[in-house]
Amino acid sequence: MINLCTMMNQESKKVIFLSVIVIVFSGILLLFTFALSQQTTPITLLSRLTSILYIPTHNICYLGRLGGLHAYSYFYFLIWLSIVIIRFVRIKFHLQSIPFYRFVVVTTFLVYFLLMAFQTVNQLKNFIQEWDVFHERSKEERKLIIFGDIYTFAKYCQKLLPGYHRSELITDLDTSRDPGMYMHRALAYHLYPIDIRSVHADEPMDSVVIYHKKGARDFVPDGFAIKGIFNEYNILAVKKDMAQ
Amino acid sequence: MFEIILGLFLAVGIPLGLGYSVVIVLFQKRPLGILFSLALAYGLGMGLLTQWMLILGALKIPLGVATIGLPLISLTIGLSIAITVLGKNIKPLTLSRSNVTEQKWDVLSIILALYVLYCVVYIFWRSLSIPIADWDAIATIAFKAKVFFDERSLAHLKTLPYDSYPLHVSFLETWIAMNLSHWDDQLIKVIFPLTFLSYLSIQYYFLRIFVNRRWALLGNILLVGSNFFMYHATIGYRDFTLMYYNCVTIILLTLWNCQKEDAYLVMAGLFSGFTTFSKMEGMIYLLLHVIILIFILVKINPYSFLNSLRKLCKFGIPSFGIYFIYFFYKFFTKAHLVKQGTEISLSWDNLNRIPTIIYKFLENLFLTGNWNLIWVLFLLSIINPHKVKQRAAITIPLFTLAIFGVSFFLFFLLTPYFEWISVPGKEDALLSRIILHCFPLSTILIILLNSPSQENHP
Repeated sequence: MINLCTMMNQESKKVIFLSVIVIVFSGILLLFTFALSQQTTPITLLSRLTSILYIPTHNICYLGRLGGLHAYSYFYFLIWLSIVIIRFVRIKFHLQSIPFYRFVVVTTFLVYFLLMAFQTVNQLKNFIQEWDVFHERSKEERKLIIFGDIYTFAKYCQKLLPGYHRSELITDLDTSRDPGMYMHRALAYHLYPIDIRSVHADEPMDSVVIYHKKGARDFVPDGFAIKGIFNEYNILAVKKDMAQ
Repeated sequence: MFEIILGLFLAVGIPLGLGYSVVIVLFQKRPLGILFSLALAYGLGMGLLTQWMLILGALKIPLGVATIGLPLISLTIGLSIAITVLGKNIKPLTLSRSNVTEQKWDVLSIILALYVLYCVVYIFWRSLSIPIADWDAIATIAFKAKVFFDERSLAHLKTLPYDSYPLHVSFLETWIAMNLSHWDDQLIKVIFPLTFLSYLSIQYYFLRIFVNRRWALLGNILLVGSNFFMYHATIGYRDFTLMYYNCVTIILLTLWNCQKEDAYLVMAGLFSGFTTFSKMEGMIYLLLHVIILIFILVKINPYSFLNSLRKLCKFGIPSFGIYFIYFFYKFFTKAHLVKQGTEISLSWDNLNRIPTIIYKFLENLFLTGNWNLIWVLFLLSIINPHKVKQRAAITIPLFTLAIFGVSFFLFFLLTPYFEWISVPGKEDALLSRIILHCFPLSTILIILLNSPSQENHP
């Protein structure tokens, strides 16, 4: 049993060793070929790969393109070329007894780690960028960085109108699609307990939030008076009896 | 600062303590390792906490730290006393690691562990340093949580956006804010890195039963190699929580089958129930879990009819029980029971959708930045005719992935949700998140199918 394990281990080492050599060779070959075909240097290609493999969003992680090719295609090429080369050279290394399938899996695993290494560099860059932006900033400043005037206007309204208030939003934004839709939701989130999403639908409206509206002053409804002017596009109005 | 640390400690400690005591009670005869117990206790405790909040809200009892926390603390103390008094004569058995020789930490294992540690640190930093800002997180999940925090009740659930949606994550955010005594856009996300850590631990301990340390760590590396998995652990979406409960349910069902300990089955039932309270899809997943259990009872480990019925009850009572709490709450408050626009249409025209669905799936699995090369590795692993044999630890996750794949396919084939993978502008919105719900099972299978010690699986 021990002999079998030792044999297996030695076999695995040989498979990994050969696969690594072939992947390095194929990688260099591919790198120079692609660089030549795109009239650039291998270093430029490599450095591009450290910035196009981590573009995350909440719905999907996008990939950049490199010289008109899908970023992963380089890694798929690398797997394919390495396997083709291994298919022929394993005879030279007297490894015919090991199933070819094992070389395929080990090669894919190794390319997976290579891709992961590039991904990690991408991720680290992202990490450093976010660190630079957010560290040593107060919580308020961080929200300001992300939300800009959505946040400052919401805080301005809350300062003028503390507590719960049912409110109506008047805006030029198209709130049925992004980016207006997201801006509406973000504003509602930061405004609450000033409620522009009709959470208390049964209660009467006592205020109007005018946001991103050209000529905002002209859209204050009858019976309402301006409570505060944030700027020419953003105004908070309340019922006249509350204005004093 | 002290108040914040204390608040976070209570917010996490109370459910964790409750979960831990329930785990200890359930696994009295066969105690689990302490870290595995804690990892399970986190998910269990958080699930029980949100059910308790729902019950309090339904009974119109104001939601507050005292009303929620004190009964849970009392229950924890009660269970602890019961364990101390009743558990004296129990001779504990340890979790059996089948035929896997214990290894010392080698250089490669240390490197792998350090990389996982780096990922954990990164996830904690990102979650707790960047305010909640992503689309659904801010539009529905945290918005609802903020309203519950502000009003201390569910009185206006019906007028909140998407009133039919389950409330697990919103409730957890409310609970964190209540313990902090203020709304904090960063710290309410603490549940996500903890869920991440809990899942990594559970998967690691699960794999350690079958493979050596290096391979189990490799399983974690495959997980964190996915950009999408990592990113979702930081943004406050419900998909990550649903993935957690869904995959842990499958792991527990597999463990139950391998170790023949019914406590796993009850735990799986509870976790499956919590999937229904995480997202609407959870209800479908619960039905799939039942199908998986029936598959185990009929195909893998045939029991007598009566015994099978007993096992089904042990799984079904907690899972459907949890599902029906929220269902009846919605029914009696006349809220929407299901999401609008999920009607099934049976038309021959739907067959035209098949090429698009297949193309979108293949594109997502192999040509997005979501999953690294995981699905290539997965395909290579399962096509090996020598490795895929009828072993439960492999068959159950494999069967699960198969029925989830078929369900997703039918979902897009028969419902209007097809437009979420076909209409430009919308096409990327749904598929990745659905795949995420069962993605970790592929990493488990890759490890089990490629590790040298897998020949000894139960």
